[in-house]
Amino acid sequence: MAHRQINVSQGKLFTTLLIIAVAFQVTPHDYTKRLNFFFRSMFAPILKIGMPGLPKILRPAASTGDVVKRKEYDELLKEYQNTRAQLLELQKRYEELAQMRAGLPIAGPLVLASVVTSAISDFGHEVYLNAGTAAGLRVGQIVLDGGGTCVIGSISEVSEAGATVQLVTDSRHAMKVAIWRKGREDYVERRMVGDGKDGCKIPLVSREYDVRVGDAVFAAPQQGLLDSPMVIGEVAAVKPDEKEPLLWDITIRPLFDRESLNRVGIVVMNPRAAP
Amino acid sequence: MVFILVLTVLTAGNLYNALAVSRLDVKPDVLLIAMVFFAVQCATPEAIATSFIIGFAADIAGAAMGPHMIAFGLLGSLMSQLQRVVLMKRITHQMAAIFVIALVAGALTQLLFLLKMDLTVQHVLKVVLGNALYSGAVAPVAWLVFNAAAIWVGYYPQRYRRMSYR
Repeated sequence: MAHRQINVSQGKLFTTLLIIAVAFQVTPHDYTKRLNFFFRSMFAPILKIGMPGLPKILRPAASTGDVVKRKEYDELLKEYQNTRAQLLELQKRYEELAQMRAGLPIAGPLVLASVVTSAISDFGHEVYLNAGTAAGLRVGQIVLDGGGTCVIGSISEVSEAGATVQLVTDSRHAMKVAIWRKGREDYVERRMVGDGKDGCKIPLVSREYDVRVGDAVFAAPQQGLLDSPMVIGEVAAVKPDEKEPLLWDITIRPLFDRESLNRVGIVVMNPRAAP
Repeated sequence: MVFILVLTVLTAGNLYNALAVSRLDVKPDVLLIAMVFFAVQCATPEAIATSFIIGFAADIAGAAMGPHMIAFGLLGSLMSQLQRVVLMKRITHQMAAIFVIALVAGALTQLLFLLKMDLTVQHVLKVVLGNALYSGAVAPVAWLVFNAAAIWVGYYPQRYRRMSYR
């Protein structure tokens, strides 16, 4: 090539070749890469001889809009990790809620809340939740345990972002319940109150009623609060009342574990009516 | 042309990786040394054409078309204009000249590659400097080989005709 005489002016030759080079430069890579592929495919057998080298690691140019500075990247990464953690938490809560709902006979929506702290003392048995009126909660609503399997109490106080649950074992707590035994068609409906310790009492049940240890105790359906019975516990002891011999002294053992209450579900029958 | 093609295939092939050093895959740029060789040995029009053709060859063996052709074309044309000033008879002169030209060509090529592809090689400064140092180091050997090859194919460059290589 080079030993042939080129009979054009230097300026014209240089300009022409430079224009060609610039044309290659500005032509999109999607078109020009065909030349590279053509060369590589034509000489592939020769090019493959020997050990492959280290691949050239290309990274996006720092000047492009798709790239941010390291400091900003770190900030974005932290935000991303936090958002991802929140997402995982929401997914976990959704799964728990779905699991709880699947085992419930009730049709109303459930609100899942975390137990912030609990106060179990001689003065009361209460737990505090991280959900309040903003989540549709209101006083009197029935609260279930984390598995959604039994009633643990009801909401006694509520604010916009928090609520207090009075457990069924709280001596100030009262709830309409039904005592039912498997195989029996009828049931006994009475009010149940907490004994202030680790159980509940059902007073004023006549000894005419057949109540035995092991009978199940359900929270009775209540308009706007619960549309089907939900189990609370079982009869742990039944004996004649010492003061009123014609009545039973019935002790109920709740089925939930107070110590392991981390999450609870609140039955919100009519969320639109909630304040 | 065959000579340039051979060099292109050589530099693009896996065999050439045997010369690579460090994790940055630093290799001597023999096409650049060839470009400088022709730029200082040939008549100016031939030198200009050869520079662009070698740049085209470097592009076709590389990742994108354009950057090497422009860089080599510009620097080769400049070298052809300075061939009476730049006398690369001594080994140190050859090494220094190739190092500087490789540095400038490498920087210009990477800049043009960045403009075209919006991509850049990792540790670009180290790669460019490493390539330039390596090219400068092997320049005297490559120069001798190119000289021998030029004579073997029956081509006697203008400069070669003009003065003896001492």
